[in-house]
Amino acid sequence: MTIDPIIAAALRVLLALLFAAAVAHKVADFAAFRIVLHDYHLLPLAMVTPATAIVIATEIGLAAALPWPATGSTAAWAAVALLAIYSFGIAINLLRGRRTLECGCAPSTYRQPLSEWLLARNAVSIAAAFALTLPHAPRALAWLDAVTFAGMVAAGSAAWVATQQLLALAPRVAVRGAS
Amino acid sequence: MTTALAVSVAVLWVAVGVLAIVVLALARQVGVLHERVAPAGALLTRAGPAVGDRAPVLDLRTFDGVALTVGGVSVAARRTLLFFLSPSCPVCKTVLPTLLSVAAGETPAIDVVLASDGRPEEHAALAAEFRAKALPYVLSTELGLAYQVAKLPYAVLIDADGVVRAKGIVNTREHVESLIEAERLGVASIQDYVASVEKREVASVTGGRA
Repeated sequence: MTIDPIIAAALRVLLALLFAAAVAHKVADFAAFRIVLHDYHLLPLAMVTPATAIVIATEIGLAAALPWPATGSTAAWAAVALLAIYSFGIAINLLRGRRTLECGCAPSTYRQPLSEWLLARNAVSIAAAFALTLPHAPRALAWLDAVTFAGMVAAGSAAWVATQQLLALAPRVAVRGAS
Repeated sequence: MTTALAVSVAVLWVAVGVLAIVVLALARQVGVLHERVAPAGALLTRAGPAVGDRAPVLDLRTFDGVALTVGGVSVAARRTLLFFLSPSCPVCKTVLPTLLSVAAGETPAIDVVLASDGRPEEHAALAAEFRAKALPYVLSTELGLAYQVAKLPYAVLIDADGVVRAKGIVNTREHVESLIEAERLGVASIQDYVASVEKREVASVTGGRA
């Protein structure tokens, strides 16, 4: 199985933007992210601060390495692994029934408690990252490919932001609706 | 070029699919919000002339000494919105922009009259502001007593025939607009409106089952 070079290019940029946005809010509020990571109850207390630093360093590395064809496919495997670890952490806490736990996926203004939707959203990201590990099918590029690339990046980022907003609003809509 | 077109179309279909899901989720959230947001309305109080009664006719003088009659059949066939306020009431000030837009923008037109009481010097600054906006400002204890205004900000809508059409405590733009809306729909207050809608819904549900 192969992947089209334009789709691969757009996916690389989208995933790089995703990790850049994710790491930006973690760096901006390092203390808050440490608390979130601790709240997941997956690591002993002494490990939380080093783990926070490792997560931030990995995300910076991914954001920097993903856009380039030379480093993209190696970075894509790392992205699959990192996103799988996130999904694992979310799934364990969902099994523990901790649905009020803050995800830590987005700036604290979009508070997102854990839900299955986060797993679905992560699955889409993992699929995108996995697609990047496939070999490219080289072909002659036409002007239309520039439009496809720009449109895919723009629509993809907008859809991502919309999903963030919807996931942040969903619990408020549902909880108050039930009361 | 054919491959580029095929890739482009495939990407577009994926985008359409993602957008459709986002729109569905949005529509659902909007629907839930719509169900939840009850109409906001002015709180009706039982004191003073009831809705449907003739408004007491009072000959008053504005802050600037101009004669002003409140109540009775309007010569210009215009409605009057009486707004009771006080310079020491912060909520009253937040409602003032709404009154200006009511005075300027309603069709058919509404005369807005601002009413308060107390010593003139306390009101000088506020009255000057409304002189600039050409809204009459009345200082009259008599007016407040006639409508038994107990809480501020309070508003009364009188129609062109001098009949009280709506009244209540107004804290927001929605409350002021609810008075005008209540007159338009011919209901006494938003509380009456909600009650009548609920009655209609119950009737349609039971009617459907019978």
